[in-house]
Amino acid sequence: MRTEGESSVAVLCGSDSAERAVSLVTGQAIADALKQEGFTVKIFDLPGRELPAALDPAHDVMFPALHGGWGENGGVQADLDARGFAYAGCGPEASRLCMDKVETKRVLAAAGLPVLPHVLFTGEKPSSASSLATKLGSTIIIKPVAEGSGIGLHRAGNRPELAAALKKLTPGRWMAEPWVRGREVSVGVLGGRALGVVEIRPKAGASYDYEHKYTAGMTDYFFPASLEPALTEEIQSAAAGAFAACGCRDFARVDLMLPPAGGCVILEINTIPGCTPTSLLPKSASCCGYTFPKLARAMIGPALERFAVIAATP
Amino acid sequence: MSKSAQISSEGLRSWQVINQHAEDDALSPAARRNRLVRWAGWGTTAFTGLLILLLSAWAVRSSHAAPLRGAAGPLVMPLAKVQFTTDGVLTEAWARDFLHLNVGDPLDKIDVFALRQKLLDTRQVSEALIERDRPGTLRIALKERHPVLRVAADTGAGGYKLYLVARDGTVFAGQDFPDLVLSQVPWMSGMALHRSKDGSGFEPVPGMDAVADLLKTARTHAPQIAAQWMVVDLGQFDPRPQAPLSLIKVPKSGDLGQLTFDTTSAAGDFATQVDRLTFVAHTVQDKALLVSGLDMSIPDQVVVRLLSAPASTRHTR
Repeated sequence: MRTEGESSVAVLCGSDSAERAVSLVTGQAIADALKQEGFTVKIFDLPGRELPAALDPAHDVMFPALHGGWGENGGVQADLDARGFAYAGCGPEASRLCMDKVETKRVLAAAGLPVLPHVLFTGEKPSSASSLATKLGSTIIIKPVAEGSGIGLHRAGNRPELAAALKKLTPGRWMAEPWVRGREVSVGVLGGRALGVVEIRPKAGASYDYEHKYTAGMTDYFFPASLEPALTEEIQSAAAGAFAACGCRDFARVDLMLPPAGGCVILEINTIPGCTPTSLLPKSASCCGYTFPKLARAMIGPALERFAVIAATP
Repeated sequence: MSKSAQISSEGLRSWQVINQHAEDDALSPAARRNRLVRWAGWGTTAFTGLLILLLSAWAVRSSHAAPLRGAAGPLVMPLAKVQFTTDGVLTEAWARDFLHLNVGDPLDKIDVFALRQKLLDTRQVSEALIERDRPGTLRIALKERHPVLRVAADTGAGGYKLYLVARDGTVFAGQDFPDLVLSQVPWMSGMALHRSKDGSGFEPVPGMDAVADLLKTARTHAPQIAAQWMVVDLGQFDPRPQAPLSLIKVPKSGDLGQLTFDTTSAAGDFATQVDRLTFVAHTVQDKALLVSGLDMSIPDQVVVRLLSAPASTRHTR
């Protein structure tokens, strides 16, 4: 049986998605942390959607740090499975499912987990503003079905803003949800167990979009969030339940909203959560005593176990 | 020519120099009354015409919006769209098909009470609100039940069918649940389903809220252990509040064997029992113990049933 001492970790980052820049930062941060933990680490900035030919499944354990697109929609995971690599994070089915916000909601709702109502439409033929307002209320958020990091997020506080937002949509699948003006929280999940609850408060009072997410100082974070113990338990239970319901493995981050009426609703599951200096998963893990290098080790740990099993299989 | 010039040399004045001016409204009272009556007639005619014109325009516009006047007389509002919301998995397409809703059907002839009952009879739907939103929308808002356990039950027609058991004990067929979700719902054993008196389904299973709470607690606090639970045995489960003994068993939980939990709170709440389970499971794993079961139902203890001596301390000859 192979051990982690005989392997090296190959961190994959970059690729060609809209979140390429964030992926490069995440990849470097993970690589640095794993080096601190004593791993031999190679980092690959992928220009496109091809795995480097130099990688060897008998020697390299993969850490996909690719956000969005091929890296997060199950594409790279399927390629890694096909070539016999052990890798960190969710498999292709769970990755594909969690990248599709609508299908994820369907699974979560079926499992009895709380989600917001939504309307699905295409950018080519969007729903009318009046129809959306009738179904979801006058304040609405529009987002692409298969993008992360708040990319393409449109907020509409009234019907004219909604009509204007609908005119800006690019082709593709979009969804509209009620804009719940509650507290926004995020929970890391490691090995199926929910970590600490992080509260996110964008300083400008708007919602947590791409700019707020990756610009230092634009958002305040409180971790662990100041919440009633029962609500914390409910949030963690929902996060762990979502992780299990979607068939995730190793790690993920679950984003939730706390409506003013009480309880929580699940917004989405990120199967390759950001690990930049301002990212949420390290903050959530720190509530449970994880330093960033220890978190990185915990994230790659199950993949090393799978590597050992694959290597031992005749 | 001036008026003075029209006076003849004999000093006689012509009739032409007599002042002929008369006021415009120099009418007799009767003539004035006649004129007023005439004007009132014209005004009434104009107002009536304008009213008819406006009413015609409104009627044309309304007819485009939806209502049509049938041959028999009353207005017929056709169903133009269904506005469907749910907190579960059922879809608008399913609702249209199941309730036989077709665009163009007369909205007022839809029996919303019958439709609501039909939805509730599925038992997957726990609450249904159906209302007309004129001129042409039917609003359907549902709340659905979610599976806690699944069970294969005799259909009464010589076969078995998958049913789901909800937190409130309701047994339902389960429409549109993704396979991924169903595959994670443990099977129920040790408790028989009883057919309802009207034969439409099964009597609710009592005490399912306790089972749901245990599963939820385990999935939150011991997710890797709970993920291995394929069967929940309710053979020694007593849902009565003052039951002296009530156990929920998991016959097989990976390498831990059979797990036993107490539902009477004598051994603490589920969070306490699951915490004990997690602690003992780590110890069992660390010491490479081979166990056939862990019993959390005894207060302040966990009974570990060993299958054999620890691998590392086994004596060899």
